Amino acid sequence: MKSFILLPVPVQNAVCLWALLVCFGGIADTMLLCKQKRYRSCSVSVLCFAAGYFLMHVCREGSELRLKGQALPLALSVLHSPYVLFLLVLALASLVCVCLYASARRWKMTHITSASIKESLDLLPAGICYYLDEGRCLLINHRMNGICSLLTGRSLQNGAAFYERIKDKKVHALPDGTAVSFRYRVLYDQGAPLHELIADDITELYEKSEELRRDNERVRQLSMSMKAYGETITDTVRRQEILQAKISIHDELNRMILATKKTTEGSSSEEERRAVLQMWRAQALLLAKDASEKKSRNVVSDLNTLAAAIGIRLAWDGAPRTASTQVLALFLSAAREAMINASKHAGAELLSIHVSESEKALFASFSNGGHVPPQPPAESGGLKTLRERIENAGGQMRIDAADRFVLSITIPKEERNDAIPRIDR
Amino acid sequence: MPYRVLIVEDQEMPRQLFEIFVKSDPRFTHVASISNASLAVDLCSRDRVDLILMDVMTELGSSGLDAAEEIKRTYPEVKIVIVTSMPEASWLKRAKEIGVDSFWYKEEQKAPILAVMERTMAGESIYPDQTPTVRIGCTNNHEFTDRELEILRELISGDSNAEIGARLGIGASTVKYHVQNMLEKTGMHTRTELAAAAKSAGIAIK
Repeated sequence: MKSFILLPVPVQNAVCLWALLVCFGGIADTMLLCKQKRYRSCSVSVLCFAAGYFLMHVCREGSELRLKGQALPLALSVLHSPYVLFLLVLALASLVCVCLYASARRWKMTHITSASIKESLDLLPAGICYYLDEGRCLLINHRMNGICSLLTGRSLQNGAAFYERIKDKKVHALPDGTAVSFRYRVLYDQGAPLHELIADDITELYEKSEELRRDNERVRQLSMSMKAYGETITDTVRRQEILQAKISIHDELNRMILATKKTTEGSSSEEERRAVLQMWRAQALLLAKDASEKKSRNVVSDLNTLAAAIGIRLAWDGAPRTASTQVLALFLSAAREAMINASKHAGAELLSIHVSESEKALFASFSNGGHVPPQPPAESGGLKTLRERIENAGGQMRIDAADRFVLSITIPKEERNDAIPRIDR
Repeated sequence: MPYRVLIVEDQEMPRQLFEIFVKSDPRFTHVASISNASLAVDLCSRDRVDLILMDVMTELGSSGLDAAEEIKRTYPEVKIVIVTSMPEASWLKRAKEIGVDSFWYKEEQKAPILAVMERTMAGESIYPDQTPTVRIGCTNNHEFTDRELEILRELISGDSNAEIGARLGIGASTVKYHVQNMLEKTGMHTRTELAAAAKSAGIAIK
């Protein structure tokens, strides 16, 4: 059979190239298999590489010596072996290389390795980092690195330092428009602590939350408007009532004009004329009144009415002018209490009411001319309730029973105003 | 002997009108007029009063219905006629519960107040069949259920469904369901619009 050395040079070069390819294949397989820690297969791939390298070396050395016209040394006597043997060895090495490569690929698809874990973590939308106590990172995915870069301007080097930086804030809005929320926990691997930091992408949730916050703010403002509206609607309805009353008076005036015309034109009796006159007087009285709302005037009027019913005379020195419902309600309660006590316990016929106001408070004192109790009265019932109400409103109440029985009150115009001067007991 | 009448009305013009009505009829005598319902009990204790014309919303936020309840408890012989212009359904119901003798809507009822007063003193109890009909959006106040009116009163406070539900002892989702129903009935778009319309019409006053 023809030996390899007798083959044409181009054919020998082609075989040399084939051997080179086998070398590369052997190297690639060796690296893949080493990475997969399959050392037995790895040794086979090394053998393939060695076979390929040896044949390539022999071919190259043989060619060079022949070109120089030198005799081949014994070491290269292998070149005299049949060329079929060369081809068989190379074909076998090539086949093994291909099989090992296919095996390595298949093994990679069916086995989980640290590289595959890293690869899969890099595909996650969440950022993940595991680090040791001193901050040395064991595993970081691309997303976590990106988040760290956006927040600190640098890639993640120290997990503990990064956690210290982000731990105080629950949600971090990143410059790229996304938002992340961090979760942290400590795991134990055979007793050794391992810190886990996960950054969840909550961009959508964050946007919805922001939208909800804006909506809530709008609702809060609407609610405040509604409350304000609720407070003024009573006045609006009252104005409507007044308007209705004015319409009634207008109709009544028309009716009276007709009645007057009839009375003046025809032969009416004295009694009919008096009736018409009485109607005019009543309407004039009504129209002469100021129809505007005057809460304080109503309070004074009510107290005068009650005093008349009780049989006591009120001597007013000043009158409340404030429009505050709370202040007027407390003043009315105090005046009512003073009036009833003056009549019931002191047998008084006169109650003097002194009222003055500052910007911050209303001051009032009620003194009666009846007999003074032998000892200061124990506060119970109405007086006790009155004190509670006034003090709850931030005001003060004092009772003097030295020469005359005097009830003094201070009612703040604003709730809980501590600037109100105290009344010394 | 004429009946002695006390008028409790915080608005001067309606109060004067009532006084004119009372004084024009010899069957009645005007005892006094006050603007604050809380003083009515004191006046009843000091002066003989046969009949009270009582407004519901009186001066300084004092409730005419609260005062009526106290008067009826203390002086059951005193007749009371509630006069109001608000079509708030709960007032009519409460007036019956506390034993108010008659109920008169200022603008809606055709019967004159003097006739109502006379019939009340004769022992009749005169109540309207229902509250006046008030339009609200595409519907009227009689189309709302009791529960819806209850929620409508709370809605005016501007509170959330959860807060309203907590006050009424129902869930926030139930409140939301009823609000949605009311919006569909009235054709209104927002709960604020609904609450404003209800308050303005006087069908839901807390």
